[in-house]
Amino acid sequence: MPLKVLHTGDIHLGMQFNSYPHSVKEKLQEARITVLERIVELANTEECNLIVVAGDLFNNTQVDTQLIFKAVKIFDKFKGQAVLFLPGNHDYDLGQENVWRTFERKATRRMLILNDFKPYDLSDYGLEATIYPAPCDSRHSSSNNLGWIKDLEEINKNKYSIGIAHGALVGLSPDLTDNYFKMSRDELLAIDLDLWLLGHSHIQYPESDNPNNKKIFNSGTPEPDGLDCKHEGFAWVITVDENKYISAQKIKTGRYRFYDLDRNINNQQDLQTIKEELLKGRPENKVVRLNLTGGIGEEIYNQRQKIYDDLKFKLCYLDIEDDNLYIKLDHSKIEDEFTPGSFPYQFLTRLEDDEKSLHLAYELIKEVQDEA
Amino acid sequence: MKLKKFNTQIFAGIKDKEVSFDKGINILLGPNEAGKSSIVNGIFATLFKEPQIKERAKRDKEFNEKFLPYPDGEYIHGNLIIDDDGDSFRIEKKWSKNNPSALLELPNGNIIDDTSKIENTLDEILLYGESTYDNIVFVKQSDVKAAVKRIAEDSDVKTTVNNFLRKAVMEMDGIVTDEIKENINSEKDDLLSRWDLNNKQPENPNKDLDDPYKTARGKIYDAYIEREEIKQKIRKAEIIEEKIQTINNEIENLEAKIKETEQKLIELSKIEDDIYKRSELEPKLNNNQEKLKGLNKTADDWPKTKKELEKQKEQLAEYQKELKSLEEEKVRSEKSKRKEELSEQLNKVAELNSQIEAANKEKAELKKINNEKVEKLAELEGKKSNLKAQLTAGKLIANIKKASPETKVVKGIGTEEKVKAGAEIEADGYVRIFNEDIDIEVKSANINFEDLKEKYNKTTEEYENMLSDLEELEIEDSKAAREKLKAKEGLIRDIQGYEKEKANILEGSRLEDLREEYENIEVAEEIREIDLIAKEINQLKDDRISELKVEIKTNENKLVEWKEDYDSLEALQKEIKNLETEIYQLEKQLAGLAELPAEFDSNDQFRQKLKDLRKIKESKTNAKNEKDQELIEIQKEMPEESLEELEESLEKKQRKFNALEERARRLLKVEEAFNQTLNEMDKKSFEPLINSFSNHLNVLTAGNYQASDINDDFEIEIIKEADHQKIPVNMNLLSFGTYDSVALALRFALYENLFKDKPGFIILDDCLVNLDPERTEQAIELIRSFQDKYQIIFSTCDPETADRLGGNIIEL
Repeated sequence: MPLKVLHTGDIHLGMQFNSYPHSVKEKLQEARITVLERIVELANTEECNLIVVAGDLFNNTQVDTQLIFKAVKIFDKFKGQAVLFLPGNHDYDLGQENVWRTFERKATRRMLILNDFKPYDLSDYGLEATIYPAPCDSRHSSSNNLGWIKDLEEINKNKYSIGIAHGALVGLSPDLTDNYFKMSRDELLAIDLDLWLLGHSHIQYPESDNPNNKKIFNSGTPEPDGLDCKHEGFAWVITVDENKYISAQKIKTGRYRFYDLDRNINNQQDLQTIKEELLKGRPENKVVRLNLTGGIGEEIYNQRQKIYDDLKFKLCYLDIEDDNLYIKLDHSKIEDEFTPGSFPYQFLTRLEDDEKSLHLAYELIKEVQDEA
Repeated sequence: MKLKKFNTQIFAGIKDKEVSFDKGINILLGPNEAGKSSIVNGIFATLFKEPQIKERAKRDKEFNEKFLPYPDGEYIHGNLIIDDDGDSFRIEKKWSKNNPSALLELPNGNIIDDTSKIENTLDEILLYGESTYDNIVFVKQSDVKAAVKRIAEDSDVKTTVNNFLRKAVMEMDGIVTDEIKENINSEKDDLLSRWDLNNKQPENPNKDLDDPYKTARGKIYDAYIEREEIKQKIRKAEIIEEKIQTINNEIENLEAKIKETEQKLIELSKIEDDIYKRSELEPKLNNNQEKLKGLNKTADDWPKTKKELEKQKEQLAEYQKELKSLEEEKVRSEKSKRKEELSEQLNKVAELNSQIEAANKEKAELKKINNEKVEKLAELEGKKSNLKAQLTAGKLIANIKKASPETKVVKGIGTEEKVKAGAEIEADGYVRIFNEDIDIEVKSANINFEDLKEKYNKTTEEYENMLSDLEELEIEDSKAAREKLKAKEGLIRDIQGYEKEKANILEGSRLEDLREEYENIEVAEEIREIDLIAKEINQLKDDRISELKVEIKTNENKLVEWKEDYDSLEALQKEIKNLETEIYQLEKQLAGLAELPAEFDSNDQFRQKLKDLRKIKESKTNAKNEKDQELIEIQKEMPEESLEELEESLEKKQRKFNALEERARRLLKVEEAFNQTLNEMDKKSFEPLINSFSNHLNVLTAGNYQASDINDDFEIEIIKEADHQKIPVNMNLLSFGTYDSVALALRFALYENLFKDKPGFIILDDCLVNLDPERTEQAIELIRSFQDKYQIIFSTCDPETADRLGGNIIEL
């Protein structure tokens, strides 16, 4: 019988989002648990045999107990044979008192924590599969934990052999410090397993939405978790058929989407375009940092706040950076507004070569003018 | 502000006087002492002078002297109604030492009587302070020069004028530079307070995260602290992670150690009972083996010892036999020695006897000699010698001259002897010379020679007789006799000695007995030395026999002991048999037990190892539990956010910080531009005043004079233009008239600039008196040109001037 796996990871339950306002923070925190509901639901709909969480289910080795229990409760709704949890570098496990011990206290028999360097035979769960895990046993490591699998003399007693590992896949995401259990494709493929399910990088691998005949998969995070996360949040549904032919489907699971945008604005239209772009789709699920630069007319400039407010109202969160957005002032405008020879005229003329400073000076003058 | 009405109950020389003013020109017209100055002074005092007159204050004293009615005025009074942009205010003051009062009636009819409140309200209406009014608005024409000097010296007025002039320039287009400046400063403060932008650190670098400023923190400082807080959190998280890593490693190591210990424990525990049993059995076996060894030896020794003992006893008997024989030989040897001794004794005695006999014989020969005889002889010899001495006392000497051959001579008691002729004869007491022919006797007359001779002869005879009696002894004199006596005595002693020796030898035995004994002793032919025999005996007795006896005793003791211990050899052998069985059993048992692993030298070592391992397991388990606990504790300290999250936060804080810094830099650039602009324009701030002054002067002097500069210190430079040449003019050198023109032009210029935006009034006393008709005309024109904007109070005593100026003429 073919084996169908829902492959996810890097959920980071317990992530704090402290740099967001309280209400946004709560939403983003909540999203990380609700995405689990969707994953389990998806696995059920897809009639998966297994859910594999390839590391970093939790953001830390210590996470709020209630949150852990909630997670257990959600996974318990899975109708398939087993849920496999690999400790990642965030929730690494040495068997010590940590998040996994709390997890274990509530977990059911179908939930397996793969924290040993040993094959896990899933026959007891009615699956013809053996799992070869490479769990993390520390936060950082310059070497991966695949060694014990490589050293095995015999692999594949069962029909399907699946490797599950957590660490940086070379070329997929930058591991600047080489300190995240780095592994390479060649290294993985050299081990005679049918399938490799990885976690760590928050982006999916392979890039294709429906890859066929691929052996290595990286889950990516199912729920975007920060401005550096550019995608919508996905999970893999992977099928290994009787002939060990592998087909996979990337399925969107995320709710919130993060946008870190830099936009150069030169006119009303530019601003309008951004507004429209941001309000497309589900603006209430968008977390946006918008860095605006450029020079615009005073009128448009003065309207910007209204646009911000409007966007802020509709988006989940908008962080505006417009320190480099300025009113475009040319000499004729200065002349129009101020008597030549007058203080403001001379003051502004002096700054004409620096548009941003000119803008600041203009604002200072305007403030005084407005007061008067 | 303009004046509407002034009245006074009493002020200097005027009483109950009221004057009303128009908006334009007002002329106070009256002769000298009519009270023109008093009204002007009254208005000034009502506006500025406090009602309380203080006796000690110099100004108040002057004020009193000038304005208090003489001789018996109690107070000074002024009541002024002014118009400020259509609103009427009334100020009434009573200056007094004891009963001062002031009130300000507001347009709505409300009255303020608090002096300082009145002052504040008036300040707002008047725009400028007392000295500005004093020096510019109220100043007398004659005082203008002094006033200008005062303006230069009085910082209040100067500042007012400066500020005013600057304001006039700067605030073109309704922009107040001070407000911009204020905004820049406030923005700077808002951003940069507590922050050193150049050095990118807090003003006081120590005021960092650990001890931050509590107040007056700018946004950059705030952003910096926020960023540092995140950095600190990151550092803390990293440290904690490192600690956790360390603890995790420690736990892993401990677990590995525990596991290793447990494995070893399991391995060793399996054989623990066997090794324990071994510990019990092995000593027993060793013991038994040791014991068996002992018993076997005894069993072996027992008969041997018995045999040996027998031999030893035989040997002893032989030794004793040998001893006996030696002792017999010794007896024999002793007898032989006795015989020898006896022989020697006997010989000695015989010898002594013969010696005694010889001595006795010799002694017998000396029988006649005795002490008495020796003494008699000696006495006779003495007597003889004495007598002879007496005889020789008469010495005679005879020379024989001639003598026949038969001549003989007798000397003294001597005998005849032949004498030859020529001989000299010496004789004692008597000489007889004779021959056949003659016989001559010569006698000494001193002695009785015959008597002495007789005595001498008699003595000699007795002496000779005694000697002849002792003849056989061949004694010649007493000396020889004494020697003989001595010899006799020696012999006696010798005999005694021999006898004593003999007695000693005999030791009380009789010689006969000894002789008999000697005769009876039979002596074998070969007899060894007794010492040799004794030595042999001793050797035998002390060494061999006694040694053997000890050996015998030892063996006997052994046998007794064995007997006591085992009863019999048979019994012993039975015991050996039993012991061998026991040993066999033990060996069998041991063979069934696990061997002690090779790594151990002894069971004790094995047991110690087990003990150690259990201890290690316990201590490592405890240590692990402690580390587990430590881990739990330290995990609690971990920030809720992961490092990645903190780093994201840091990125955000850094961006915010950077943006603020960027804004601050821009702001500083803007400030610099602002200050530069301000400086440049500041330099030009006197331009309007100079222009205004120059214009007025030009009008008043019909183009002869122009102002070229007025600087910050109000130094005025005037240029006379003649023949297209511009000549600087010293103001003091100007003619009176020109001077008045200059003063008037300056006052107007100052006034005009100060009151440009809010026109007020100006007091001019007769400023035209010194002007020539042409200039007077021009001055009147100038004054009149002011009336549309300003209220002018012009005082003069000249009705014609009043007429020419026109306006509201107030006659006093």
